Amino acid sequence: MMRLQTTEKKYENAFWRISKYIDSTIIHYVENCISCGICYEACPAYHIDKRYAPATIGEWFRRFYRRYMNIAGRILRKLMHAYPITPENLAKASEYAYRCTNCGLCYMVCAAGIDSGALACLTRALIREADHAPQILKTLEELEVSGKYLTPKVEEAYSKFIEEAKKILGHDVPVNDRDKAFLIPVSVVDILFAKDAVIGTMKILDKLGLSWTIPERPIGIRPPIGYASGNLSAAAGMIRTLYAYAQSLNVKAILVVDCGYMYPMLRFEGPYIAEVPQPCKILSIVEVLEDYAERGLVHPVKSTDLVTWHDPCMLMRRGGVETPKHILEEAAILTLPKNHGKYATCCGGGAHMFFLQEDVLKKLDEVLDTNLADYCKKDRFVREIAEFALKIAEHRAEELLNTGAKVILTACTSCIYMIRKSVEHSALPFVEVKHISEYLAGKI
Amino acid sequence: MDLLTFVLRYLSVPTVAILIAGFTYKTLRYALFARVYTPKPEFRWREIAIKKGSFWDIGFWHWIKELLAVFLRPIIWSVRVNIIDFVGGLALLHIIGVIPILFLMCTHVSIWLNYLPYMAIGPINLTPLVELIQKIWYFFCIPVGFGKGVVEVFSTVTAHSGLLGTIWSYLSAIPIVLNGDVLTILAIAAVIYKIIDHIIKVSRGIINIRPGDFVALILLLCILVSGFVALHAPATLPPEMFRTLIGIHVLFAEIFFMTLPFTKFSHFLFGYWYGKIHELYDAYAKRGV
Repeated sequence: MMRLQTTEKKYENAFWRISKYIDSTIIHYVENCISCGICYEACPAYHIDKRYAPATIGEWFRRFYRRYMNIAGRILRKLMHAYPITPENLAKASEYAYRCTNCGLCYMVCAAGIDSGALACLTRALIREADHAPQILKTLEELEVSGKYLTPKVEEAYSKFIEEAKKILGHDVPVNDRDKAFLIPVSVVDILFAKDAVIGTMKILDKLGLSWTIPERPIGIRPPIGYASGNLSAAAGMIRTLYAYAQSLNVKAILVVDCGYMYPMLRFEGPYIAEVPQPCKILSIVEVLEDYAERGLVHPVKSTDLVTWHDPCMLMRRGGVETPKHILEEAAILTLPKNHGKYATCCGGGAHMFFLQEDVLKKLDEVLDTNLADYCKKDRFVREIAEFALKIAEHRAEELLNTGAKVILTACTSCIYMIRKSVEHSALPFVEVKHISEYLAGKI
Repeated sequence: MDLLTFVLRYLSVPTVAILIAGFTYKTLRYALFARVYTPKPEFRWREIAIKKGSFWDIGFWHWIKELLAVFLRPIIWSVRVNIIDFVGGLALLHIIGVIPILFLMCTHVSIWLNYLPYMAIGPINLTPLVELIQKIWYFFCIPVGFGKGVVEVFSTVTAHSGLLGTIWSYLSAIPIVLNGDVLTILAIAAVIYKIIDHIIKVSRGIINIRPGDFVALILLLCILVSGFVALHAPATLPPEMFRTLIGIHVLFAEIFFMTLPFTKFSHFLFGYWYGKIHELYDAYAKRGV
């Protein structure tokens, strides 16, 4: 009995530790869902399995919250669905929380302005705090935070990347240079999965006459990976490190090429969770290109390619960066999918999803000296979530392929990976999936 | 002492007290958990303002448009993706049903207006303002049913007959179609739809429907049905029976108001407005979506 109480106390303490993130906005998200169901159709998870919808994905956090922080929940536990934090309940909560890609479409259409993605993030933070997060995510987070991701193989891959960039650009790659216009925060994921996009960005910046630099070593696996694993303190630490690094180089802006979660985390969430001011502007390559095109400062060579654009959720809904219509219409024939802009459907690669894919882990294992792909094979839950994400991706790929475009462009490494994988598996004609920088590099 | 006397004389004050205490508790929580974050990221609207020259160059109407957009977006989305739920949940339950019944049906207007004169008590004489509010409110009040006058049970303002003096005297065709009776029936249908919808969702494994949600919906249904039955009691019914029927209706309504701060219906007073204003701040002003 005594032991049971101690265990329950341990889990309750995990809740109180993450309660520092509960402010009046989170209270609103928790207490004011009216179960109207408007958000259901917006959720990519709901289209795969009707049990998972934004309101249900946020429900487990609400249940724990009611148990510990709500008077009515403390008194009328059953009537109010107030649940204690136990290993069984955490396992049930995981089933919901890890199915959310945090795409934010539910927030856009919610009648009460509730961001269920934020509640899913908090649930994952609670699960991580209670030490029940998938081992893969914990390992990646620990490697990034401790700096142990910088293995000899990573260093070697980075040197090769710099050599390749040097060959393509025709000049030395500026490393750790001070007072440049842009710092491109290259990560391990960038050099493994988005090498062409980063080199393409360098090429474009050269053509535009903008100075840039890169770090002497990759700045992380895909920082702040704590966001993906649910450890917001770890995320805050990485953001602080990155801000301090940019400040030490005195750059005018950090230019994000991988516009997945890195962009909104650095651009909007950073100052809140890291509690330090931004040292400089945070820009995505998409907004720089679009701004130049809008001002008539860049004129890509027009091609007859029929291209379509997939708005990454983190760039559009979480980052406020609009579809780069000007630049794409100048460079090719643009056709947009049925759901685009604010209403663009998620590709399934958001939040932690990318890191649960076996192929991704195999590639990471090669350089990080880990055996994460084995975990993926053995862990039924991780496999289920990974397959679930792929089903979401297939749904989006179909929408994109229906445009008839021959090239699908986007600006996020996860999006490229997920859509490419779905396109490869689809029965429809094969199309290319590229990063916008990669596509435009040869046209400017 | 009969039920009506009890609920009006003894239960109304505790009802209002619990309602106020509940909302004070809720509001205080928001205030206590509110945080002023420093430092902040650079807000997108500020970037746009710098680009355009000043805050006002973004355009006043642009801000108004965005404000309207946060309110209208869910409605447009609902029409696009789930028209049945839009009709049942939003149109019938909110726009056509509960809101006009509660605030515009003449029987209820008489109750609201009954409390208005008390506002005039105090050092400032509010009487002209109260009279103006009474006149405006009376002008829009909806008759109970076709064939029944607006002011038949309307006692606090000067009574005329039929629809005279109200908006319906100019739009006389509408109350024939849309009167208190029809609105109540539509609202009852909408609540039943919501209850069935909740049952279906629970059976499909949707976990966010709580027993408390059913209690709140059933309570709303009881209020609507009891009110409808009381207003349509046969004239031959003994007066004490009629008083009991009205008493049941008021009792349900008082329980509803007592529990309001703790049920999902509280969105109508606080959560909905807070959420939308916050969305304008977070999604538009901050991120520029």
